Amino acid sequence: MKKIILLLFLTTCFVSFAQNKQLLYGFNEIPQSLLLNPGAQVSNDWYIGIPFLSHTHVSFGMTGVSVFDIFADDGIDFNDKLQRTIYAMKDTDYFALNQQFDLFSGGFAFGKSFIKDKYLSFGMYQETNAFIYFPKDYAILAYEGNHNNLDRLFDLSDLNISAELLTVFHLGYNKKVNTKFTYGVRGKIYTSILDIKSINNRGIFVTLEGDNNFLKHDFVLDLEVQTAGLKSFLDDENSELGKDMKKLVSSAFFGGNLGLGVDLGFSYKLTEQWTLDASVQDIGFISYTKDLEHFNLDGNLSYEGINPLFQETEEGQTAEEYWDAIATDFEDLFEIDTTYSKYTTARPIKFNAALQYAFGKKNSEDCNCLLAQEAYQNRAGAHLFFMRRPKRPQAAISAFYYRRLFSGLGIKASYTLDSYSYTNLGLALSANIRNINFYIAGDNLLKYQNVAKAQSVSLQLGFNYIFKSNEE
Amino acid sequence: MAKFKLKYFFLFCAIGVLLSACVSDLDFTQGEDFAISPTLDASLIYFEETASSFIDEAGAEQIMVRDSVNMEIFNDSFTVDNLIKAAFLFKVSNSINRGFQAQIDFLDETDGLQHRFTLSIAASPTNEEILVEHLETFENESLLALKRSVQIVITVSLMPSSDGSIINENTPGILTFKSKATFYLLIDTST
Repeated sequence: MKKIILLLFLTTCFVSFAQNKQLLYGFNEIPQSLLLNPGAQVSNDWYIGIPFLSHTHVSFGMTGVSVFDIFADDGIDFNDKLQRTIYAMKDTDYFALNQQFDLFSGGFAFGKSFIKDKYLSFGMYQETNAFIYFPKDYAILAYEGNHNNLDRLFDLSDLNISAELLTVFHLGYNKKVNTKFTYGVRGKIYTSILDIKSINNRGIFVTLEGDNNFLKHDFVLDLEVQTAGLKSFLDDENSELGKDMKKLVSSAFFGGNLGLGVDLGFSYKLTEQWTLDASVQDIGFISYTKDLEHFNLDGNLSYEGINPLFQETEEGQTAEEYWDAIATDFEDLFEIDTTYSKYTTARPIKFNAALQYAFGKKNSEDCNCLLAQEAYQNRAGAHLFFMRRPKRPQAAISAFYYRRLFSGLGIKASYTLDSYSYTNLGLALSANIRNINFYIAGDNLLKYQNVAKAQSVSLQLGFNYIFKSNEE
Repeated sequence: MAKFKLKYFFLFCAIGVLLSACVSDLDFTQGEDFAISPTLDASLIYFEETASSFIDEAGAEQIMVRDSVNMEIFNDSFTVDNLIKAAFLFKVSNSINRGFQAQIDFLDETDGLQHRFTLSIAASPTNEEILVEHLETFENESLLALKRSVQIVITVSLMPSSDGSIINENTPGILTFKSKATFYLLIDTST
């Protein structure tokens, strides 16, 4: 019980996240940038992601709190810090986590003519998302109790949690129409392994001065938790870890709840040096039809206490019936209804757009007409990111600068403004050593001296085997 | 060749920057000190009765009213582990010209008496409201007794009148009884 309470406290204190990949977006030397914009300009002839190593992405973000605020080794009493944090946080503060892991990926160019103008890419990745708003009123109730909170309405809608684990199989088509315009589309099959949502909660708890007794407790409860994939994990018959793993693997490969989605994107060269590109990701849905459990807690009760001695007996009610009635009231109030209704949810749509300017031609190099942009050593521009969220959309804007240092070694720096911070500097690097491509991108570099102080950190890295016929 | 070396130099520098992140000055063992101390209030027993409630069906005085309340929550492991103090507040007001006594007994699973206290309220010859408040605090020994209890028995007794009068349908006055419990919890991870 104590552990549960502690866990509840900690999870509610540390939840946040950013799916913005401003460094990877537009970094066309990295094959995985095609996942962010299927219409990006492709700069290789074919590639194979090194299995399990081609893309790892972890990002988390939180508002209102950092790990350092609570766990700093600063001699201040832990509970004082915890209390300070809880009181400073708002119910719109959140914690978010996004993690992606490539199982396999690859791509190749094809076309009838000598100049291959089409590109097919494919792969499968696993993704975890969690998004939790800080349940402020629950925390205050757990922290203080109702004793000093007479007349205070505890808002039960503060509980807002969603978490999911899924795999995505994808196939993308990229078409270079002419030297100016490239578009692409990517189809996705989502396989949800686990989905837990508790986002439509309503209700209050309040303690008022009573009419017949000192106090009156009013409960208005309308709480729900929707789960898919959880039931079979919690089944008693299936308590062995090995069986759970087996189930996990089988549901990861199209065995879970399925969904479909599409990404769209393009890039357009306005002039030789100006390029505009944009993409929309995850226009799609998952239909949850199996392994479902929907818990619902629905009830109202106004309770002043009990009158065992002089029961206001309704006709013919015996003492025993009086007791039964009170017990039933509370049982009804806290009774959890379990249903198994199917549901469908839209994927969180993400939007990326960037406008960039290439400059600084390398004199010694001739213009390569196929990859004219590569003739320029520098690219600078602005990037915009939007994502749909339950309470309000998440937005970020970045300024970036790309520099090709040597053939096969490019770096990109970004400065991002979002709801987590105004001081987010990022750095990405892509290196080709023979045919092996390695890339790494990290966010919030100023916080790297102590990541614990960071409210948002994002890291991506991976290895690919790349083949380019037009390599110098 | 110099260019080639420079390339690797840059590569390692950049990777160095990205991987040099460190998490310092943190002490997660502090989590073991986690403690919260909420204080909860809960309504208990109440009634408001006229004098005529103390007459039985035959018209005679009912000198004692008794009932029991099951309170298994005191015995619950969460309560046993985390309750550090409890206080029961009672407020009785009487405007009936008869004295009353309320006896509150805490019984364990074998109906053994764990704790008892009594409230007395005097008669009100002028039918003015007489108020009595009683705060029963459970700490140390009495707290342990409370945690062994699973049942509360309340007995309200009608005291004999000083002038020999007997309550009838027309006897004026009201007896009211209000109560609440305050539970002081300390939930920590150290125990």
